Amino acid sequence: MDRDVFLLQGEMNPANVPPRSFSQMPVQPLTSWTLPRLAAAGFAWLMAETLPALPAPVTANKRRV
Amino acid sequence: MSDVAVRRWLFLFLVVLSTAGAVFKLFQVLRVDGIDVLETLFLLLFAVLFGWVTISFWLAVFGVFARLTGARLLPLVQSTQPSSSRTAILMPVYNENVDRVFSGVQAIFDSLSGAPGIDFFILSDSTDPANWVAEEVAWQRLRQSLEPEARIYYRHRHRNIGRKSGNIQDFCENWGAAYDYMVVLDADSVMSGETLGALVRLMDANPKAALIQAPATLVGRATLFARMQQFASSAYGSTYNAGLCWLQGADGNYWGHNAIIRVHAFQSSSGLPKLPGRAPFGGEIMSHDFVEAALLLRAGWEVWMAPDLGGSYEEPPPTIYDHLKRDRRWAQGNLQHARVLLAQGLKMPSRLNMAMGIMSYLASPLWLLLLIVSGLEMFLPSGLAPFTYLGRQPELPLLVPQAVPLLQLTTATLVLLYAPKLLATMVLLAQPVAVKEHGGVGGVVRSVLLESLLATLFAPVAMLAHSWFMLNILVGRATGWTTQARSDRALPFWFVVKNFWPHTLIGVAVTIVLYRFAPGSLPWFLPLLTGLILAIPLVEITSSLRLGEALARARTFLVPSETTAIPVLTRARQLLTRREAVSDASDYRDLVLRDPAVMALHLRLLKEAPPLLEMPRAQLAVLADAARRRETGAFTRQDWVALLSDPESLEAIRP
Repeated sequence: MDRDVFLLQGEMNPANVPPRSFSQMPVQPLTSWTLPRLAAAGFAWLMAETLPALPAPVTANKRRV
Repeated sequence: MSDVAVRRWLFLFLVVLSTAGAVFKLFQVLRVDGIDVLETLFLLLFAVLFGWVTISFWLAVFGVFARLTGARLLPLVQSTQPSSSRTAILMPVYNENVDRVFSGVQAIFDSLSGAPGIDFFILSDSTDPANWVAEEVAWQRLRQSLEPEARIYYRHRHRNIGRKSGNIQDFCENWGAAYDYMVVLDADSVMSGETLGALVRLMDANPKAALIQAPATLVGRATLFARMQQFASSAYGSTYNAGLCWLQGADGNYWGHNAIIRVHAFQSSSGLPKLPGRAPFGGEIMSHDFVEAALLLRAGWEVWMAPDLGGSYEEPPPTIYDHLKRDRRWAQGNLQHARVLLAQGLKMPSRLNMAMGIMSYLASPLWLLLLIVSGLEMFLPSGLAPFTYLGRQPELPLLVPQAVPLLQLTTATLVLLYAPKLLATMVLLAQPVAVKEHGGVGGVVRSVLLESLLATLFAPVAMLAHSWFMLNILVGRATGWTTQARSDRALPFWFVVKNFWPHTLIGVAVTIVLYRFAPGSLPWFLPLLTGLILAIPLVEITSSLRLGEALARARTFLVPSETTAIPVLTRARQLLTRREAVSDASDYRDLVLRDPAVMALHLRLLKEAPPLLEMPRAQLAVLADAARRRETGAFTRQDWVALLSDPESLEAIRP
């Protein structure tokens, strides 16, 4: 304790975190599935079927900080 | 049909075929004297467990095949253009060893040697006020030691809502829009600049990829148990990962850290719901990683694994005790996935990943049940007089007359259990450089043998522990989220006795009962019982640092991180040693009150955090008054948090 009472020497650095720009992360629903659909999904997996369309990027408001 | 589909069909076929074959064989044995209820149960348990072992076996076989044929496991190209994307490296911390966290961050920072577009965020959820202030001071010191333009940020949350996933979500919601990718780390993980650069280039060139997992190699610990895990991860992990990667293709999984994630994909599709009902099954999703990957896949994104990128490291738990403690948490997290498993729209690989996660803990109570059922069978009178077993022993565990098929089944099980290790060792031995890095042929053979022995002894201990966890979870006892022990420590003897006497007692009791009533079947159970009876010395000895180091000198359990210099790890170790040499045992909470600079820093950082108002003003005034008089001895943790979160009170007592 005696050795290092004043821990920080010199200037403190300016900005800590960059400015926040809040955009909420939507909660994804997890509702249960029925057996026939599950079976169909199993088949889809085995056939390595193509995927649904990707969601639109939400980077329109992307800012450089 | 695509290549990956062919592989999946083949895998399914092999698993089903080998399981069905074994189950049919056992069925033939059991039906000789008619099948009773107990035997039906036995057959069912056997089918599930044999199928489980078969999956690991074929996964290893696929891995060996992929490795030996040089299959392209990650069929993605890296961008050759200089990257203009922005990446945030996230280090979520929760009451972790501050020196270790900041040494890791600095080592990664140095390893990147000023690569553009990469920022660091230390996202603290620490609830211990001493840790909180220590992190602030360490962050400030780190900033002072680097150029002013170094972008290493520190953010503290007063409430750790949603635990780690909530921490990451908070980042995404506040700063996510400014970044293309985020790399999520764990408090003990280290990644090399080269690997991070490669991950960014992969993401740049593959816009449909939302997540690329760089599997972490275990490194950096020195106890016997930790070194054993490090060896297993290094020697077998690569083959296992190859098999997994080859089968899952773009439908991969997320292991919680050491992965790069496309922020907008994550943000738009991976928000976790709170499950209805109470913990342990309801509430926040504890093992969030699998679910996040499943949600990304559900939204149509690709999730990949990059098994050969290297440069991705984490530390194993130092002792069996710590390993099991972590398992307790993981078991609950994985079991909770039962609620997510049948969620609408998930892809089959996600469901399988979750099912396998559940099964990795459920297998233990099922195995225990199998043993109990076979034990009961032994004591119940059989319809037929028992045939002799190989002509000599009348008391068989199953009272079945057909010794040969039974022996075949036992052999098959043993082969399936040990073959993955053997196959992976063969792959390792085929690579001269890797052999050298693992201590030479002698070293590899010695290590594999010792690892197999210790793993065999450890298996029944883990089985009992996991079964106990499962029971606790099923009766609704939830576990908290404590900080993991991340440094080498030899466990005190009485501590081990206190925690592992039930294992020993059960082992001794079962041995006595078997010896008294069914001595002939004792040898069948001996490998399991030995592990249980020796639980205390096993845990104690494997937690030994000295033994771990002695084995290293004897070229056993050597791994590349010990035999070759890996710059980023060497740097992290150097920095940690240096930090530990100068770090004092200061009470950082107190330091805020005594050191004007620390107080100033703390107040500055408080301004950026939303206020925490949990305590009435009058009560805060009493605390502030006591703090001014330096009478903080009776402060509780809540008192400290309340005081340190309130700028007004702090301003009033500023030194």
